Amino acid sequence: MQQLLPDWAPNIHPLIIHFPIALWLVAVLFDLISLVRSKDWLRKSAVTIYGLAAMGALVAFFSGKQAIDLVAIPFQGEVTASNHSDWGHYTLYFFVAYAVIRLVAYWRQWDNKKAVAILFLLLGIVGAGMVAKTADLGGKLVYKYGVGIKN
Amino acid sequence: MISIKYSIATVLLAIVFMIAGCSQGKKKENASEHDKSEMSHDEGQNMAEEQAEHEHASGEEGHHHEGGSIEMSGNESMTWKPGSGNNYTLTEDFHFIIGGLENISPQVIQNDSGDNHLQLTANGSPTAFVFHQTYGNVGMAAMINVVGFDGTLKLIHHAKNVENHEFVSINGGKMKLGRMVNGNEEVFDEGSFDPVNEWINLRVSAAGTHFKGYMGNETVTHGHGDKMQDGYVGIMLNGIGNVLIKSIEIVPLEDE
Repeated sequence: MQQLLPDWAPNIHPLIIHFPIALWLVAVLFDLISLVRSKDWLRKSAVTIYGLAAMGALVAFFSGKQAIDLVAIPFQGEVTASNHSDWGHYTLYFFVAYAVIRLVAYWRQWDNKKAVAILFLLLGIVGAGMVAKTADLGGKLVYKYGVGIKN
Repeated sequence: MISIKYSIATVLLAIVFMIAGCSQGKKKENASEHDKSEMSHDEGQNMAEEQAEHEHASGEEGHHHEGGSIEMSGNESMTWKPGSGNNYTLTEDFHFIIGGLENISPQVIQNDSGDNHLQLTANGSPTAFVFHQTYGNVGMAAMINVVGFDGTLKLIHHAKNVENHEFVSINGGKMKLGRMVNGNEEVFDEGSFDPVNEWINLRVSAAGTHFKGYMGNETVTHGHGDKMQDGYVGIMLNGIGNVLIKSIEIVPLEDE
């Protein structure tokens, strides 16, 4: 796997992490639009994209678990690294649980109801906040503490 | 119907591009701060060393006595180095939680370059000496030479006493990360490294529930456990022979 990486990449983690972030945000947008225009294909698309985002989060999580021991972290960045790791856990659990719930809700047609759709949208926004927090800490590790930067 | 779908897809794409654009803008705003703070780990270490030297030279926030010298930096990090006194008193900077001076016979020796090293001659009795100050989240790095030592050397932190502390230990090419609770050892992780016949930079970090043991910049052990109450940091020896210590760096790890 290491041989497949571009020369500049310290590990595979930075190549993967953008997928769950972008996919989740797009899924939330689909939810938002489906509140205005209640179309089945919009709900189906949202559920599919949430599922893909959860899978992306799973891969990002395991790649992060591997990456954390491959990079040198200055002492000042250790708390940020720990918090990034913790938030990565929380985000993964939330994404997977939420994607499963959305799948079941779509299958049972619960998400046809406006109140349920609004609740799902709000939970989707919570998920976006969680991944934003995780990403913020990851960005801080790289751009403030220089973790994963090659000389 | 198809045109509505295309319209929605176009709007979605436009929103995604707008979000990406905003993100880039924010990056540019932060560029100057980034330029100041971004550094590689090695650069960071070099800068820390330079800063330490600068502070040493200017006498900034440092105190020296016949025994060791302690240099403080702005973020409360501290680097201890042995002084040049003939009658070195280890207890000026440290106190013992097990054993005593008679078990390690400390003395300051000087190498050809004029650098001071603290030489400890361990007699086989477990001995641990810790700084007087307590710490919570902490990073500790010790520049040591254990070529003449046969036994286990531990960097200990969150130490209440010898029966309650956390540690990273090395013995030969093996490293162990864990904690002692009421005298019972709990191991978080174990690893191995290539033993080298020279100075090594043994490092440990305790950040919340995350604990790591490093050999230089390489992570050898990584484990997790409950956060412990603040405690002392220091060094524990259990073995026979000579250990040389060039410096000990203590960095309090601030929560965000």
